[in-house]
Amino acid sequence: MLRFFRDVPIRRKLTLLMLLASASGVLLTGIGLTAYAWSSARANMERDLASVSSMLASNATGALAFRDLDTANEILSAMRAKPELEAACLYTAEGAEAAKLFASVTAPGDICHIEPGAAGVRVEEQSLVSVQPVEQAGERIGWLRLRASLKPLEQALAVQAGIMLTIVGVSIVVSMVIAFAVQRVFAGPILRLAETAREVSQTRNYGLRVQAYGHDEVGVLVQDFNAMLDQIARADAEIKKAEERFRLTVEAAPNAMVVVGRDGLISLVNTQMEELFGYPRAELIGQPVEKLVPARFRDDHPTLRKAFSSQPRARSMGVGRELFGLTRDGREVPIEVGLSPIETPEGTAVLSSIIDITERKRAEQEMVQLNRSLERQVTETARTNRELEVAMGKLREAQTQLVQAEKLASLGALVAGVAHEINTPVGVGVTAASTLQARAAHLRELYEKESLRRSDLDRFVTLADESTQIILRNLQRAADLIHSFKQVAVDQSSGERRRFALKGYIDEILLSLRPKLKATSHVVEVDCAEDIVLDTFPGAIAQILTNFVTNSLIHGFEGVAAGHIRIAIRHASDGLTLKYSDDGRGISPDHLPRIFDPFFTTKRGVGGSGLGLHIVYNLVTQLLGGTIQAASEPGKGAAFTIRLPAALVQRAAA
Amino acid sequence: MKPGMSWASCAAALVLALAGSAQAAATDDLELKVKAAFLFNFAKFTTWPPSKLKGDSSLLLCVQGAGAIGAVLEDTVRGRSIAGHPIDVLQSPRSEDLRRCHIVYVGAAGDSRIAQELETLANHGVLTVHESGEAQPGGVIRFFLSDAGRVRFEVNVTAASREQLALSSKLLEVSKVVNR
Repeated sequence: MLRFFRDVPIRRKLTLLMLLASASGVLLTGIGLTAYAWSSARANMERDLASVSSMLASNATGALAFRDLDTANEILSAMRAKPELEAACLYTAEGAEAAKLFASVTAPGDICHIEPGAAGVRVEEQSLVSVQPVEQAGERIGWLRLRASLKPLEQALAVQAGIMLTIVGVSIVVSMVIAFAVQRVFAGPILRLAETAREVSQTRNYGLRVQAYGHDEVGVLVQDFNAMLDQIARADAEIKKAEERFRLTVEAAPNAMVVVGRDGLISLVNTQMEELFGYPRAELIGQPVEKLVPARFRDDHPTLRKAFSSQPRARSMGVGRELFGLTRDGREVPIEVGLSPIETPEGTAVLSSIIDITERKRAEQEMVQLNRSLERQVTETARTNRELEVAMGKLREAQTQLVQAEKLASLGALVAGVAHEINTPVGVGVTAASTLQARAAHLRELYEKESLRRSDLDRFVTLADESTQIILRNLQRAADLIHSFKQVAVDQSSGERRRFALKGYIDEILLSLRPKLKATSHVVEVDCAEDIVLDTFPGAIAQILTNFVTNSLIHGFEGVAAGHIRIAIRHASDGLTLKYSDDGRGISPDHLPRIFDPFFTTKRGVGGSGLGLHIVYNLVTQLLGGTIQAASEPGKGAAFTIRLPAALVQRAAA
Repeated sequence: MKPGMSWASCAAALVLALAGSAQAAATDDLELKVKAAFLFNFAKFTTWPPSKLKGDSSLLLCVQGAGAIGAVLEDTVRGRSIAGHPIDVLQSPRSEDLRRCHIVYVGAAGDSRIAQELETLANHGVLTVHESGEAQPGGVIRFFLSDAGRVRFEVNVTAASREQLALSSKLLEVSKVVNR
């Protein structure tokens, strides 16, 4: 019923509503009034009957008491004035006697020959029956039974209902007339509104407006509708702009892009897409995307598509599987697809970015081949490396041997220097001893010839005294030298660790180097506090300084007449700094980075082994645990700075 | 009684009770019963002045002279009362007691004798009932037999008012009314 009513045109609705309202109003009023009339008439009738009953009963007491039938009949006949009364029956009842009909007045039909029944008013066979006890002086002497027809009442009611229905009919007609008049006023603007709305939705012309109307609800509706059209027009323009932007973005994308709607139909493609799949745009738009899926995957694709729609998030398609696209000419192109959900007015669509990975696949295969050949090469290289390692081992062995040899060589040079140094005092001693021996022999000869004179003896004693002093002094010197050389030699060769005063030790080293320096005009300056005591390998220090001095003499002072060497020792925050510098020719910048390399020499073939500074470097960094730095400017000399850790340094005990 | 007004139209149903009573008139017994019932009913339709009938005192129904009606009357009123008054039946009381009675049935024979008796009871608030041949100025109610042989009665309203008796209009309605 309501469903039907929903589809009825609004003007028909209005008419229907007015008809229903007026008809139901009149009908309800009529029914109400009729019901009220019926019930009040019924009540009136009952009251009437009751009062008539009690009056008749009261009047009939005498007749009943004295059995005066004539009077009884006379009294009962008074009710003939009431047409609705059908019967009046008077019964005697004295003491416990059963009721007996005494007198009656009835309409046609014998309706008094029944027991009066219980007292009260009730309905029997469409008639109202009242049974009233007749009492006199507190004693019941009989019964009165009245019966009134309800037919007159019903007839009056029928007349009333007829009038009511007539009024309903008239009011329906009147309200129809009014409704026809009103519907034009109400439905007119609404119909115009509906017409415009339909036109807007069909033509999508959001510029349309409904003609303005009054300021009642419909007028407001019209205004709101127009305002809504304004907004829709703006929003539509925005959407079109956004769509255009989106389209341009997709078009400008470097990859093939396709937008697929919820229904699986392609709604947008770009030029790359056309090129990749070989379809012109017109053959793709509106087609199911499965058109681009090879036949063997096609059946599963809608299911996968729905799975994505149910949980849309940007991801790659078919992770772990190889994907192929089917081109127009039936080729299968390996592709990679990225999926992104995009919200559209028609629901969530999918923006797919498709990359042709044919080239990449080829590159991958080439890469695989390349890798294989590389592996072969690596295998070979490994073999070569092993050979190289063997060679390297041999080389290292040779290097070690050479270092050892160099150490021996420097020891040899030391021995040579020692021999040379000792040679002088020993030679002087020998000369003095020889002179003393010759003089002693001559004295003996004179003594044996007995030609010895006092003067001869005096001269000999003087000479012997001088000679002995010379011999003693020179022997002492030789002993001193031997002692210090022994010390150096022992330190150099044994590598023994001990405590020593640095200044004295440096002096001893320089003494051992004197044979090299003696022939030159070079000066060695030592700037060292007397109280510095080291606890380390003195041989290492000796070898280091020996090598520095040797290098200065051989390289730095090549062609320099009077060079100056300075050895400065300073306390530093983290130990001791030993700075060795000369003012010789310096080291070429090309050579400077390589001077600590083993076998690096600029004097190969003329005596240089290329191991001197390498040994220095090893001793400083490995044996002493310090660092060494070289600095030089060509023509301005070279400087070496050695930093020794504090652990080596001890203040001289007071 | 209005004999001319009996209904021809009410054909079937009007008869039973009074027909029986009419036949009873043929026998003294039935007539006595009817008269006794009437005597009792008279009491119901009559109001005595308060001086005559106080609060809850007994209502005295008296029978003057001899007659079978006394016993029948006693049967009729046994166990009954009127408006809270118990009923006592006195038979042939002494004449001073007679004046205390509320209803006195004068059962004497002969009109003059009856008139004499009624005379003695006048002005004592007594509803006197008699059966003389004609109306008596002293008596209030007189029984007689109708043409149909039924027991009827006439009321002398002058006497009733003299005796300060208020008779119900319903009583008057079913009686013949005289002024003597």
